[in-house]
Amino acid sequence: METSYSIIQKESEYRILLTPANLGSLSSNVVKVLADRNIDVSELMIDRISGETTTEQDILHDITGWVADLFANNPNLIIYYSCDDMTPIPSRNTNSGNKDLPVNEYRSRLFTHIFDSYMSSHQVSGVTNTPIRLDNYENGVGYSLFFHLIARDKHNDIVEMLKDNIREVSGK
Amino acid sequence: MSYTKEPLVISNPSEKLLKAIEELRRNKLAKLEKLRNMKPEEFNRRVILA
Repeated sequence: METSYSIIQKESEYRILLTPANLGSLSSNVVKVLADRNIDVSELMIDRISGETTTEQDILHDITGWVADLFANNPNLIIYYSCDDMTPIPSRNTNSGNKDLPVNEYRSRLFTHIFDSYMSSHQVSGVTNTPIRLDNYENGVGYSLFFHLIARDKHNDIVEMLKDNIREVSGK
Repeated sequence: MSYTKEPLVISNPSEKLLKAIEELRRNKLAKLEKLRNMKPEEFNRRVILA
């Protein structure tokens, strides 16, 4: 699936893209199962083009609603989201307990918080967020990477297969 | 009810996995660049909030 959304509010513009995920790193068996079952793994990208103010709740709700509608209307969609460590978060609350978190971990926590809030407030069931964290440290020095998979419970076996493939590639 | 599973945590990922992630990252950067250069009329949906 490839679809895009632009939201402008005052001086801020947010651009969202849902685009087919690059599956080239997965094993051929996994790619075959995805194709046989017509599973659409698409990557969610959210980018702020302009504006420095704190993102308002109604923007977050709007983005979440757009993604949720896409998900609801595409029964074989699995959403993949990699938490961006390339761009800073403008106007981040520097007084909160999260002030020292790396931006990608902050985004991962925010993603989970928004997902759980949406599921609860809209009384949705049968959809699960699976976070994936890679810790690459040596002697206490390194970094972590954060990813998420959003899938219907009927696709739990696919999510488990993807997790197994990640473990396998990592020799775990 | 929990909607979020416990994270899958991989410690000290292999070089092969890190290379695969680097490839995903390059791919994402290219798509972000495309997203940033899109013209307003190219979006499937566009909203201007008050």
